[in-house]
Amino acid sequence: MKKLTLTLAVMLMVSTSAFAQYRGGHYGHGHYHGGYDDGPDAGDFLTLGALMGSLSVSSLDCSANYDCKQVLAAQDDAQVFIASNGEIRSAALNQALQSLRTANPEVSAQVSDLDLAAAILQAQ
Amino acid sequence: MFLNRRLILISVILIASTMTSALANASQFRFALDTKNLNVPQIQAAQNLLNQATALLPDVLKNRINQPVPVHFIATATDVLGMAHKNKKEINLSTSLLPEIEKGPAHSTRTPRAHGDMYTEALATVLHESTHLYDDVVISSPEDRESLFECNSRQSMSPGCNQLRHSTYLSSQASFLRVSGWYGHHFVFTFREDDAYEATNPRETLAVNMEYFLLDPNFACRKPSLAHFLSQHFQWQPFKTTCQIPMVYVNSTAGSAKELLSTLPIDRIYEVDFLLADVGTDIESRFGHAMLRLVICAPGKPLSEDCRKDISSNLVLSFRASVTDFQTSLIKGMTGAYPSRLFILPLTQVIQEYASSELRNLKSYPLKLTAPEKQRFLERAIEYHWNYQGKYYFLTNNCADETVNLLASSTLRPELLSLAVAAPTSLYKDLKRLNLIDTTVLDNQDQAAQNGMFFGTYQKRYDLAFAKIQTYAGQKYDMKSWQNFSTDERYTIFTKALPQAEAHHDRPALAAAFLIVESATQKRLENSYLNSMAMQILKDQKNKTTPAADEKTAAQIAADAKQYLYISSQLVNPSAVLVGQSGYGLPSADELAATADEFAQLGSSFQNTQNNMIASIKSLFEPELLQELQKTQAHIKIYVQQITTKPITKGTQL
Repeated sequence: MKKLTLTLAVMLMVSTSAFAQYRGGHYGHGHYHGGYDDGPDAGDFLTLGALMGSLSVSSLDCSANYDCKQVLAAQDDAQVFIASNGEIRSAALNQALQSLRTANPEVSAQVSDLDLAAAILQAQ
Repeated sequence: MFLNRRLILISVILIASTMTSALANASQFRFALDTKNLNVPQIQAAQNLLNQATALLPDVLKNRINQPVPVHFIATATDVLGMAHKNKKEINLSTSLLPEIEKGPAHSTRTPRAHGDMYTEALATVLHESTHLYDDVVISSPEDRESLFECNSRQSMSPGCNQLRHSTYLSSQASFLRVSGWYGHHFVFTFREDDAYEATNPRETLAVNMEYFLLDPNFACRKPSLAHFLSQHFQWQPFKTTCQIPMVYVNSTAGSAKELLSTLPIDRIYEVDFLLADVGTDIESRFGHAMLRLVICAPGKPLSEDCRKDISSNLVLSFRASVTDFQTSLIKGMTGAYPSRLFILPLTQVIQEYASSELRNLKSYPLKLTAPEKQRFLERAIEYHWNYQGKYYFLTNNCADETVNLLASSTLRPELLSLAVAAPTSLYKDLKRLNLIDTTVLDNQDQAAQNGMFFGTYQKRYDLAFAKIQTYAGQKYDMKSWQNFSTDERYTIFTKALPQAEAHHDRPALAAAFLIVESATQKRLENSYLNSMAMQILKDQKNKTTPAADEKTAAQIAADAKQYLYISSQLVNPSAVLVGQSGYGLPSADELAATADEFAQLGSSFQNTQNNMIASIKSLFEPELLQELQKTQAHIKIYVQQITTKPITKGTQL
C-alpha cells in the first residue's frame, strides 16, 4: 500500500512565494509577459501569517484511502497544469484539487490551485 | 409467401405463449410410459419420475410439443442415459436407470457430477430429452430449413439469416448461440462447465443447460445470462427464491494480497462507456484497442455524470492476454501467447499504458444502455472474466470482435447480434451508426479532458514541456534528441535556462517542464533495460547458452521468471484456482471462501516474485546505467523542489 504524507505548513510557506506572481488572476492567459511584483507582496505574507496561526493540521488529511489514490492519480496531470501556467486541466486533477480542498477547509481559501498542484507533486 | 406463413405461425406461437396458463390444461402434452417389460414397482417409480418431470417443465415447452410423448426403457450403450427420437417424438431411457429410479432421490447412487445422484440424473435426462423434442419442433417450411442450413454453413449473421434462425430451432437462434457461448464453431465458456457435454454442439448446450435451469436453484447465479435468457424465452421462473450473484473478480493489480479478490461495486456503477485507444505507431497497435469502461462513482458520491471524473474508481474491461508490458514480454518470450481473457483493470493503469507508455489517445464514449441492459452487461462481464477463453491470440485485432460479443450477448440487441466487426476503429463507426454511443461528448477535446472522457497522448505534454524549455534554453528539443544527452548534460540545460525563467518569474513552470520530460526519460530508460535484460536472460536459459550476465543471478532470475509465469497464468485464468471445487459457472460464495487463502497466497507470491525479479535484473544493470538512473532520480527531486521552494540563487548546483 502506498502511503501519502504531505507537510502542508512547510509546503505553503514556500509555495505562496513561488506562485506569488500568479495571484490575482494573472495565470490562465498562457505566457506571462511581465507586469508582476518582484516576489511575494504584503498580501502574501499576511496570508501566510494567518495560515500559520490558524493551521491546526500539519499534514493534508489523507487517511481515507480513496483521497490518496486520487491525489496520486493526479500527479502526472499536476505537472502539466504547472508547466502550462495553470492552463491545462484534467478531470483527475480537478477531482484531486476538490478533495484536498474539502479535506482542508481551513486552508482552502488561502491556497491557489497551483499551490495545491505543487503539493500533489510532493505526495509519495 | 413462405415468409407470410411463417409470420402467421410465429404469431400463433406468441398468442399461445401469452395464454400459457389458460392453455396448460388444453395441451396434449403428457409422458406416455411404455410399461412393456416393466414390473409394477418399476412402473410406479418411473411414473412418479415422469410426473415430477412434467411438473418441472415450462408450459411453453409442453404447449409447443402438444402431443403425448411415448417413453420407452431400452438397453443402451453404457454411457448413454437417454435419447430423443426427433421424428417419432418419443424418448428412450436406458434400462440401467430403472434400479436408480426405484431407489428414489434419497437412496440412489451418489455421483461426483453436479446433479449429485443417479435419480436426479434420470430426472435430468427426461428434461434433457424433452428439451430436444421442443427444440426439434420445426415451424418453418422445408425451403426455410434449406436456407437456414445455408446460413449456418456460411456462419452468416445477416439479418435474413438471423430472422430464419429466430423462427426455427431455439438452439440455432443467434441470441441463444451468443448467450450460451457459441461464436461460430467455437464454444468459448470452457472454464467450469456444468457438464463437458454442453460443448458438443448448440443443441446439447441447450438441453444440458435446461437440466440445470430446471433443477438447480443456484443456476441463476452460476450462469446468470443463460438463466435470464431461458426464463424470458420460456416465461418460466423455476424457483421462487433468488440467489445472490457473486460479482467477484480477480484484481491482478491489487495493492495487497487480500485485495486480489475484489467485488464489483454494482450500486456505484453509473454507466458503461466504449473506450477506444487510438491507432498507435507500432505494429501491435495499428488497429487501435477497443475496451469498455465502468463509470464507477467515488465512494459515497451520488450517481451522476460527474462520476466520469472519478478516474481513480473507474474500471476498464479489456480483452487481452496480459497485464503489463513487462509481463507481456516475458510471456511472449517464454510461451508464445495466451488466448485472450477478459481483464478488469483500473482506469488509471489503462491511462498509464496507452496514453503514457504508448502515446495513444484514449476516448471514452457513453454507451446508450438501459438500466436492465447495464445490469445484464455487468453480470455477463463477470461471467466472461471467470469462464471465457477466447479463440483469438492477443496480438490480433480481435478485441473489437470480443467486445461486440460481450455487448451483444448481454443486451441481445439484434443490431449487435448481427454486427460483424473488422477492427476497433470500425467498431467505433458501427456503434456510432447504430446510435449506440454518444460521440458529441468528444467534440471539444479540452472540455472532454476535464469531463473525464478524453485522455490525451503524453506526446502533447512532451511538446508543451519542450516548448517551455525552448523559451528559456533557446534550443528546440524533442524526446528523441533529449535522450541522446547524458543525465548531466540534461541537467546543465536546466541550470542554464533557470536564470532566464527566474527573470520572467516562471521558474515553477520551467521546473515542471523538466519534471515532465525527465520522468518520462527515467521511465523509458528503466523499462527498456528491464525488458531487454529479461528477454536476454530468458533467451539464454532457453538456449542453455552461458548467460552473458552474472551466472548465479541469471539463474535466480530465470527461476523467478518461471514462478512468475506460473502465477500469472493462474491469474490470467482465475478458474484454475477453483479446480478443486465442484461448482460450475461463477464461483459461489462458499467456493470463494474455500479458496480465499489460495488466492491470497497467489497474490502475495505474485508481488514477491515480481519484486525479486525486478530487483535481481536491476542488480545486473551496468554501473554506468545505474548511476544515470540514480542521477535522474535526484534531478527529479530537485525539479519538484524547484516548483515549490523560494527563488534559488544563481549557480545553485546539485
